[in-house]
Amino acid sequence: MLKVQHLNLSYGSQQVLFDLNFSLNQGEILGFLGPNGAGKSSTMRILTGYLKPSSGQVLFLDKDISEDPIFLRKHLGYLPETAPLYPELKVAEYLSWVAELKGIVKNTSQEVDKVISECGLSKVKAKLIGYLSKGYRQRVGLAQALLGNPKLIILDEPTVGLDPAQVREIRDLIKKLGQEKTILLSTHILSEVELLCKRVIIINQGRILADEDLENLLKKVEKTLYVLLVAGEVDLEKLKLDLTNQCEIHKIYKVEDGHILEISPKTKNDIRSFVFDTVVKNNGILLEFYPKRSSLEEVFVKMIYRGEVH
Amino acid sequence: MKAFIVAKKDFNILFRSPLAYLTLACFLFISGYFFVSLVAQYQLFSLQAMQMQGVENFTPQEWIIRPYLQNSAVILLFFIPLITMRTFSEEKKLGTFELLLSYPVTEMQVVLGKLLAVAGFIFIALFLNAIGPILLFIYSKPELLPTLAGYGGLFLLALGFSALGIFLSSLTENQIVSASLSFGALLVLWLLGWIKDVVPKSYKELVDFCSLLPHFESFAKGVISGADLAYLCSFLIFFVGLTLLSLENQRWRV
Repeated sequence: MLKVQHLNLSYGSQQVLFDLNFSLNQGEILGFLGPNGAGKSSTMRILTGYLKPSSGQVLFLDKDISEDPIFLRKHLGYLPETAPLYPELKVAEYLSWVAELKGIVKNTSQEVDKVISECGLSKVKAKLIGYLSKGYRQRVGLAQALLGNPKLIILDEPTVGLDPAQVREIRDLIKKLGQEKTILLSTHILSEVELLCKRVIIINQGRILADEDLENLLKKVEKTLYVLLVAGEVDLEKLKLDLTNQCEIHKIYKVEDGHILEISPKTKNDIRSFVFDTVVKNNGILLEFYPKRSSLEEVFVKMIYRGEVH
Repeated sequence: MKAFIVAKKDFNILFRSPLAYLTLACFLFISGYFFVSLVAQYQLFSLQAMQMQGVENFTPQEWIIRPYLQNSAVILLFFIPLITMRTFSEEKKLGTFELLLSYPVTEMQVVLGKLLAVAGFIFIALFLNAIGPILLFIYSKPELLPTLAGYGGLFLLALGFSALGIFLSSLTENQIVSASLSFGALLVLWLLGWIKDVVPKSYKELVDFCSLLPHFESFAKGVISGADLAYLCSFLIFFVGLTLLSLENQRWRV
């Protein structure tokens, strides 16, 4: 649906984006992940046609957006980073204006009512935007992006500055939208990506570090770490010795109701029954035993600070 | 059509801020002051004119309406920058400009929409400004068509001021900077008319050409001169074009 080819961007002598290549497929939620100042917003601005890249091109449905910007704008719903709105207008008034501008001629008021209820704005639709709280403003921003049934939705940090309940509502909304729309979501909040996106692009200092399915990305760093909580009258030294036959022990520490051990298998064999048997043999009681997933956060931090995952 | 939609929003926003009303009030107060003093002056002179014969062109057209239009033009020059300063600067500062351009509108439609909204304001200002002359029509007999021509010219001139103001507003995010630049530019264009007798002869034509208000003289007299009409129209088109160029240029570097 959207193809980005050899995108470079410089502000004066400072190069901001370096040879970006990626594509966005129909019906997918793509997470665009990077620390602050990584070039996310610049990329978004290029994709919406607002900013012209120094070189490279962006194709929307196989049409170059710099040659036919209106074609892209007809099918685009965009929420910029700060949800910029006109404080002097009322919510419903603003949304119907956007609808008109987007060329919705038929059933304008119905379309507007639809996004108003979808984004939970019914309570505030007669209020001036200037008087709304940040959360509601963000929702108005989202509502204007949804108007006109766009094929492509680009959201630049949609949950920044919201309280946890609002964040959850917006995420639910995005998730619902993702069932039928193509969404590009930029964020620096990792849990958001884990929750919403199937595929993720990690960008830092204007370069793409990873472009993969979330699951594959997590597998790459996953060392299958297991955590056990052992209680009872155990000879800890003996248990350690027994376990090292097949496992590597990373950490041991005492907690209120026993000891916690973090272990990983030495080989590729399944060690679960071995671990269980060994603990029981040493008179231990196995209270907890679970695999510890390496979270996206770990991947992210590794990528950003070391540049590689392996 | 899209330009009208853009204009509608701008016009609404303009009239929701006190700025538009304040500007309008100041403009009407000052131009009203001039109108009253012109009428008073005319009254005074008409007493003397009865005693002395042979004062040429002693008509309300020449003595009231024409100077009134000229004064109004100068007053507009001071107030239009206050209306145009927010057109692009405000949108850029709020960030709404980026969003506006993600909708299916062309830059041209946006610029024209903004100009239309300001034109709406000018229309209202000039209509209220015309109340004085309308009263004059009730109590005296000025000529209708020359007065209309004068107002037409004034409207066009004000649009020219606005186009310049909108262009300068597109250059900056700061409304104060935008207003100051427009003031400066319009004042220079006005003052140029004053130095035309001082500059060397070879520059006289250039100075004459650049100064804006002399091109309004004929309209104030009630004459539609083709040359001046063409001048004002090209002034307008020139600055609309420059605005488009500036918007396009900024998207390359931002």
